[in-house]
Amino acid sequence: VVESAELLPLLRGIRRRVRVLAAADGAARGGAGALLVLTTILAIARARGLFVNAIEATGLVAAGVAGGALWLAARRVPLARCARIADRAMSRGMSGGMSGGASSGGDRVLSALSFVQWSLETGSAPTPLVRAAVADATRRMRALTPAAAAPARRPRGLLALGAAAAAALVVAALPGHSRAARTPVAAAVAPAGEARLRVPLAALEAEREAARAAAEEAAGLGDERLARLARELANAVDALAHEGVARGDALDRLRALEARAAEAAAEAESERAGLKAAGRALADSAATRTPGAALAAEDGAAAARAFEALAARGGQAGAGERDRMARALAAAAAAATAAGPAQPETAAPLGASSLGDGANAGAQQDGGRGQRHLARDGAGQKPSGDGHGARAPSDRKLERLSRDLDQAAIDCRASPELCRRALENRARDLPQMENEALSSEARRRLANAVQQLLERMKRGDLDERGLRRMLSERRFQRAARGQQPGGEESGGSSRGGPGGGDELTLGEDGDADGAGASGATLPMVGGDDDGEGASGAQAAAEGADREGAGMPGAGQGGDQGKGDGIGTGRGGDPLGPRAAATAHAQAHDSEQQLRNGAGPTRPQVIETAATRGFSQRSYEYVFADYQRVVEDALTQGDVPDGRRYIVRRYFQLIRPRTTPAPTQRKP
Amino acid sequence: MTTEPALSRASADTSDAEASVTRFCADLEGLRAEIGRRLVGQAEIVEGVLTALLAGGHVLLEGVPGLGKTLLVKTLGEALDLSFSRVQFTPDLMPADVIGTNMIVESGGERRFEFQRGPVFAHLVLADEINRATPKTQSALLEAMQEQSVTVGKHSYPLPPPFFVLATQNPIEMEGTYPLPEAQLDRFFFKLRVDFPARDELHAILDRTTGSVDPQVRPALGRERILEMRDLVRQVPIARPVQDYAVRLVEATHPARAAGSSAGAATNAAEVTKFVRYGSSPRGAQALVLAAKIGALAAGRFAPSFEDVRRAAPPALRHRVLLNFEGEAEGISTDAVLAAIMAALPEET
Repeated sequence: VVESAELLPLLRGIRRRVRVLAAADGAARGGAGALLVLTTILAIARARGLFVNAIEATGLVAAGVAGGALWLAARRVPLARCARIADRAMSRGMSGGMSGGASSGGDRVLSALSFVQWSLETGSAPTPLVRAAVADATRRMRALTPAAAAPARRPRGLLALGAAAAAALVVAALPGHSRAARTPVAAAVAPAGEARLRVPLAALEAEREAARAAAEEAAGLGDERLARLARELANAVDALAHEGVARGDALDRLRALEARAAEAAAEAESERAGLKAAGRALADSAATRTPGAALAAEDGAAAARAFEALAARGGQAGAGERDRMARALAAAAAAATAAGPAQPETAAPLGASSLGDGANAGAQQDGGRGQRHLARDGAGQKPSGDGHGARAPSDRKLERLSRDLDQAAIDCRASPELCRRALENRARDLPQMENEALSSEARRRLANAVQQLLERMKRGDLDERGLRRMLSERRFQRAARGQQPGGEESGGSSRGGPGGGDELTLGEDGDADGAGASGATLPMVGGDDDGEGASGAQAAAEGADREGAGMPGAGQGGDQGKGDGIGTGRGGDPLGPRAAATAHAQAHDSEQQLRNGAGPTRPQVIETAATRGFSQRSYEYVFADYQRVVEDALTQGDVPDGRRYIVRRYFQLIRPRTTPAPTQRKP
Repeated sequence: MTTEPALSRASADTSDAEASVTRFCADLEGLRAEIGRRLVGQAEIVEGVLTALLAGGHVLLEGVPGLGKTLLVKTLGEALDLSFSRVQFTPDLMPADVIGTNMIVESGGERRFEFQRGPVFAHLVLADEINRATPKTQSALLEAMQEQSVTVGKHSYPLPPPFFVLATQNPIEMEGTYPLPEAQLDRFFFKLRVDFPARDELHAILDRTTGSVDPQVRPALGRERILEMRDLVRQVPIARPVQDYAVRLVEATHPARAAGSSAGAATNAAEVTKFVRYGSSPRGAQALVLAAKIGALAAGRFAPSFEDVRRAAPPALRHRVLLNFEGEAEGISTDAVLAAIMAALPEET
């Protein structure tokens, strides 16, 4: 179509104009997007105290503007769209000028473009009316400039650009400090203002009990070192509970205490192993069997007496007899030495004793296992003594024991008098060593308590965040002591049930003002037959001289021949009705052996403890047994530190509690 | 390569085309003016009637009596210098009364059958109240409209071109009537609704009809010119996008197609699928395009626009879109449905 030679360039001019406007739109949108990204970066930088380079920020925005402009300007713009734009512009220019197509300009340009494209595609000759249509459109297009067809307008996205710019300015204007400006302030203030850690006393109950128990055992064994360690732990606990200690100081103090306690425990354990080995070696010889057996049995007094007797015998014995004694003493020295140097680098926690003496003896007979008993966990793997290359104090003591025994052997071979003196010296030294060795378990328990406290502090259990947990532990500890959740001691006035067979009540010794002799209902076992169980009140009335009235899990079945003994039913609230306590009666829970002589089984004891608290005497035995086994496992097995802590913490929480001193009422 | 003579010939053709379009506009304007000398207002009706006349179609006028329908046809006949006849359709009207019949004629002592032409043999036929005749009679007229001829016995008699029928029907007195079936409605190019005139127009009507002066209408166009104009209409090109719009518009009137068509049409699918029983036939698309072409020529343009198509849509499609029971019950008008379709249908695909 001849007329199209002019139409198409005109349309292309409009297309260029459209691209320019699209580029402006893209610039605004891209700028808005870039500003949003910059705002986010600024916000993050403010929060972290970082600095945003102005040049980089400007570059980011410029890149967004340029990218958006290029993106939209490069998009395809069909000529048909330009033709519509031209038609709209014409309709604007001549609105109302013609009767037809006043609102759309008659779509002259679009129609003309369509005819041209159709002619070009098909190659067919245009009709006169088609030529006229194209010519008409071209003529009108000549009067239409691209700027008039697509007039300048506010770029789309300008509002978003303004909003993003405002957001960026606001964020940029927010006060912030660079990391360099903030760090010194924090570093300067922290040491001076470090919060002092103050822990509720209830949260340190386990450590206090450990210190108290260690002090008592130290007094009993005459172990001054253990007593000193116990005092240090008690002081540390008091400082934490009452004065408050800086966290760093507390950690340093506890670490030092832990190291000393572990060293003391390891020393005692080493001595114990050496003495037992020496004792077994002496017991192998008929000449020294008696003192050897005493040493192997860890009876210091008996060993002293036996050595005194041996010394008296050695002062009068002939050469043959003294030679036998000397060989036995030399063998004992060798055994003591073997028990020491063969140990691992560090001593083991001693809680690592086996369950029961028999098992312990078996373990001692097995050399490797015995060594494992003396192995320490990771906390004590540092050289505990005088520095690198120095022998541990425990080793030195074993060497001294070995040397003394060797010297005694030499003296016994030399003359009766020297033999007597040497054996008398051993009779003086050995009880002290034996006592020290016997305190190994107490020292190890103390070391474990310190280690647990240190671990709790490291884990933040004693910080603010651990308060909630401490509260729940406190509630647990109250229950463990057999107290009511409300915090008051459970009085003996809690009323028992009506004597139904499904409930067994623990009788309690109450005072004269007790509102009732019946204790809290124990929700466990009674006779299966309804109404056969006797209430605690009845039990209390039957024998006031009993320590307790009820028997957990037993009911009256064994006594009265009614019921089937231990039943399977369950009662109500494990701790009894909360509202039932009164202050008029005081009592303590206790257990009573069945009259037929059969005591409660271990599961019964545990169940009773779980429901009534950990104050029963029988529970202490059961706990001790289990704790030994667990400590043995923790020591021998490859248990991660975290698990080891959790297990020990668990046993701390379920440890037997000291029963409040009851007011016994004698008949 | 375009040669100089070819260029000059093309230029001459273009000038001729422009001149023919200009003359078309002028003639049409003169015809409007002549009709306006007697008929007051009703510009849309006049425009529709002239469009149908130039497109070679027929018009169904719907309106209450007394709105000037007969006057329009009569005036149109006078302005076009065409023969005019009027048939009042009644229930007892027979086909022969419309198309004519063979009658015995004595001539020279012998009798023979001679076809007596009915009123349909005129250029302009006003079928007044067509819905009052029986379907048989309606069919006779509608056959003549479609075939442009009448068959009686073994003979076919062509109707004189241009043959243009204006049928009227009263929308309020439907008792005892025979509504036109859909197939016969489809044969009308346009269906125009004659509304009550505005107050100013009513004043003018009263001034003209109650005075002593009767405006005279002079013939503005002859029969031959009308046929030329019809021929020019057929030559008008239509751009593919505009024709595509007309096609999509017709498609959108079909409930099944509207629901599954393009996104633009789908927006009005709710109204179409809810109220429309059947959409427009292809005759509707033909009417749309022809009416748009006439609209473009009337505006002095060489090709129809989208707006031309939109303007032609209501009269061309309102009787071709059939409402369902729900649409009838709710009083939905087909014009409303078409408006909704056009509002939702984009020009660009």
